[in-house]
Amino acid sequence: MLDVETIQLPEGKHCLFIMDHSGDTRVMWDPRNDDEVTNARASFDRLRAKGYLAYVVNEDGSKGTMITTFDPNAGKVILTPPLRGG
Amino acid sequence: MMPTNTITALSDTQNRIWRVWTSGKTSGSTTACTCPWGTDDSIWNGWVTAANNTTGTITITTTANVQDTVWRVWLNEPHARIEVVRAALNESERQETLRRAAVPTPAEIEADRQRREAARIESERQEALRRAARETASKRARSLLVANLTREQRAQYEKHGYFDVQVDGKTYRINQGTHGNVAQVDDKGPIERYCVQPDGVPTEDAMLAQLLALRHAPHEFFAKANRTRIRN
Repeated sequence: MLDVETIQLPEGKHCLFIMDHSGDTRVMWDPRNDDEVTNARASFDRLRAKGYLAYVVNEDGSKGTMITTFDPNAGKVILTPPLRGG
Repeated sequence: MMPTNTITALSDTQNRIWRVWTSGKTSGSTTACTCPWGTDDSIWNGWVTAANNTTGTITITTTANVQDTVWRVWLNEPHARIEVVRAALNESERQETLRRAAVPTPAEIEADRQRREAARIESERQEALRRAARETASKRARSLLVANLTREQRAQYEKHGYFDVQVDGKTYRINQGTHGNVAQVDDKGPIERYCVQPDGVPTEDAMLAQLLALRHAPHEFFAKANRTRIRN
């Protein structure tokens, strides 16, 4: 079995998973909380401006889509640093 | 007031002779000279006498021509002698200071050993912290990767250390790694290899970024990737 921890978000929380050297940094928000939405949107926009790619993903990885603008109703959003040819 | 001049020794040999005399003697001393070429106190004593009396004369018996040459150079510059003595003594003190500084005391050696040991321990502690941070980051990244694999991909990753993703009817394999770890494959093996990744993230994050790009932004993936054709 893979030695992994299950990622559990608090009830009602949506999350940005921002990839970085620590694995990822998580920014959570409740769509009903305007301050949290504003904070998450600011993080999203700041990273998009740096060239990060954003994907909305579902629970099991079977579906998803790339987005370019913040969606407060998206459950899980993964932000990856820009790709670079090696 | 006595004018001061500087004397220019004619060669390094003369300088050495002068320094041996002045380091083995102080003005008025009767200590035996430690010149390697002789112990003739009359050289020193005669010189000291002459140095204190600019009109004095001295008769010396030299044992080597080189001593005689040096002596005559000094003697022919009577106004400079005192300055030369001072400079030579200062130089002697400077050499002694340097010699003492160059030879550490046992306490200094021990202090240096303790400093080195403390630095080594701190370096190991920092390395352990970095290693722990890398392991934590890798574990966190693996959790995020696995959470975004399908059931089939998860089983494949667990069994083989790679997983496949289908894009436009083609199969792409993402192997463990960050550079050149993605390949288009068929049942005969790899066809083309791709090198494209994000910077500054753990390996499993890079693999997830590659997977997400292949799945949802293939144009971005192939536009950035360096390709290596393996077979047609």
